[in-house]
Amino acid sequence: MGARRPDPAALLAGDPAPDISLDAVGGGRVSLRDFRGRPVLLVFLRHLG
Amino acid sequence: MARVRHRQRELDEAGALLVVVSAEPADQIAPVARKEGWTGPVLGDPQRIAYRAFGLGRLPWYRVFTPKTLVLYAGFMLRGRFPEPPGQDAMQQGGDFLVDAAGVIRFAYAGRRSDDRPPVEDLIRHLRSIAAGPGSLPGRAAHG
Repeated sequence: MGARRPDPAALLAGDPAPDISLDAVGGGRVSLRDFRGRPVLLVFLRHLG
Repeated sequence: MARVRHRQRELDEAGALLVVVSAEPADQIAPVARKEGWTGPVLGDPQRIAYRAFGLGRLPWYRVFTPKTLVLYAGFMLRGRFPEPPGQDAMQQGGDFLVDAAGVIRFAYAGRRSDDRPPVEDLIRHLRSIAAGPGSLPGRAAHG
């Protein structure tokens, strides 16, 4: 069990992570590439509960 | 998020960084991040650029308002809470992705329903596999 994909667009294990830049809480712009060098668990929220 | 935060120590032991992405603007997330005690990077993605890049779209209504979630939501409302906060997209799909140190996705999970998240045990297991190095990883699954 390495992945599940409900639609063809979803990424799978083995795919390179897209390099995206987003605004960070606390200020500044952060790129996902900035986290290279250690494992990252990316949690995409549905909404702020 | 609580399900993951409760296992923070194990995430730390596996050397993992927890990064939260929300579809709300960063300035609107800040109060929630403080209240919830999120200490790692928290990123705002109101344009859903990262969501789309990882293949996360909008769920159909019947996968958001399931019998199970309706019961759960009724409980929230009885306690005076909005289960789907006003002004936010109730249909937004969530997901969890483990990315290794080289930037390769090692575990991908796109929620099929509003309450669908991977067991934290699976995340911890994959993280430990990543920490143990190549050759110890679970195989790439072929889901359609």
